[in-house]
Amino acid sequence: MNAGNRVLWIAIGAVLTAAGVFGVLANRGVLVSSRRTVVGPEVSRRWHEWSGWWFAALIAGGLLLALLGLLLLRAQLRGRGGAPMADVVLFNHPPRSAPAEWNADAALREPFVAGRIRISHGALEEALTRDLRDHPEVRRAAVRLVGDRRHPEALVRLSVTADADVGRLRSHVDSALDRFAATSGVRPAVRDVVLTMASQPPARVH
Amino acid sequence: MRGINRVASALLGLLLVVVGLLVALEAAWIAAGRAPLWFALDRWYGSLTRTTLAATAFLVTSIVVGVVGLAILLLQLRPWRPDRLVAGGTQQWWLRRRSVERRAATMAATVEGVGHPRARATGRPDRWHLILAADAWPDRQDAVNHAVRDELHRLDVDDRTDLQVVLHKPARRVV
Repeated sequence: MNAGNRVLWIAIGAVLTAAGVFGVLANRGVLVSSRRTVVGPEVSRRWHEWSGWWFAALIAGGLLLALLGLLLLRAQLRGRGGAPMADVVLFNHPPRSAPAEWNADAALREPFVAGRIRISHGALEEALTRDLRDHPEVRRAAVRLVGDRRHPEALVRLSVTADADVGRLRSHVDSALDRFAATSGVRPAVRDVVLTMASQPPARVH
Repeated sequence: MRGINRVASALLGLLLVVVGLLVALEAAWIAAGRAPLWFALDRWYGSLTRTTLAATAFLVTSIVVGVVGLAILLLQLRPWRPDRLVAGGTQQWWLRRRSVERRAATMAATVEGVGHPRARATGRPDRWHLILAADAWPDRQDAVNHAVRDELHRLDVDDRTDLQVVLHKPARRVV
């Protein structure tokens, strides 16, 4: 997104600069006669000639502009990493062939209830975030799960203490992801982990 | 600058949505035979058909537009320092540039006789180097180098990352 924004503003800057230079040159009479008006009479003539089409073009152009604006706004608000991962849905399938010894277990003789469990991606992110925070060197954590549900990616932001050991943090993140995979069935690949360190070591209490 | 770009892009997006919808609605409204609602089109048309390219107002507008465009271009094209720096290892682990600079300066300050340490990380996010400047006598060079290297090692930064220590002789010996 950063690179995209930069390209967008370079393009806007270039267009504005070119428009400014063209305006100054036109004012000096270099490119066109400076006695011309900004809007000439031909604009009015063409407006009347193509009256119906102008309205159609303006409506279509306005809607297109609004759509582009909406896409731009959404890209800024959606945050890093693109679209969030879809919610996880777990289905309760009927047992195909239960082993004979299971019949002795009263719990397994319960009638089968079909259903499904939906786990929102927000709940999954929160679960992983809480686990990551559960480390003495981690002050704050933020996780975003993005991409396909079968192959999700995790974007992790950790704010850690000044004396944090990055090697230990790596182990902590790997362990948290293992626990997350065991409990949720989702094993995200780490796309990136960004660490912010506090400015000073925490005050020690003796 | 990345944050400013993001806010500016969001505002531009919002502006495009509002203006685009207003244009579409106004055009539909006028096409239905009604008078313009939001845009004073007659007044604008009258003004633009009277204003010549030689007019001072046109020149001033052109200069303002050009200067704004040039300012945007210069701000975008000048080299940006990375906001994060790659750490070692196989996975994509990153360190905030400001954090690395702050930690390096903090550790340099722990060396006796070193004052006013300033760290500056430059280069690309995946290939960067650190310059540490401080007020100290040259005999502190190895100690400062060692302290900062230790800190970079703790941050899991690749040992091959360039570190340049620049010591300026203090006006009087720093205690």
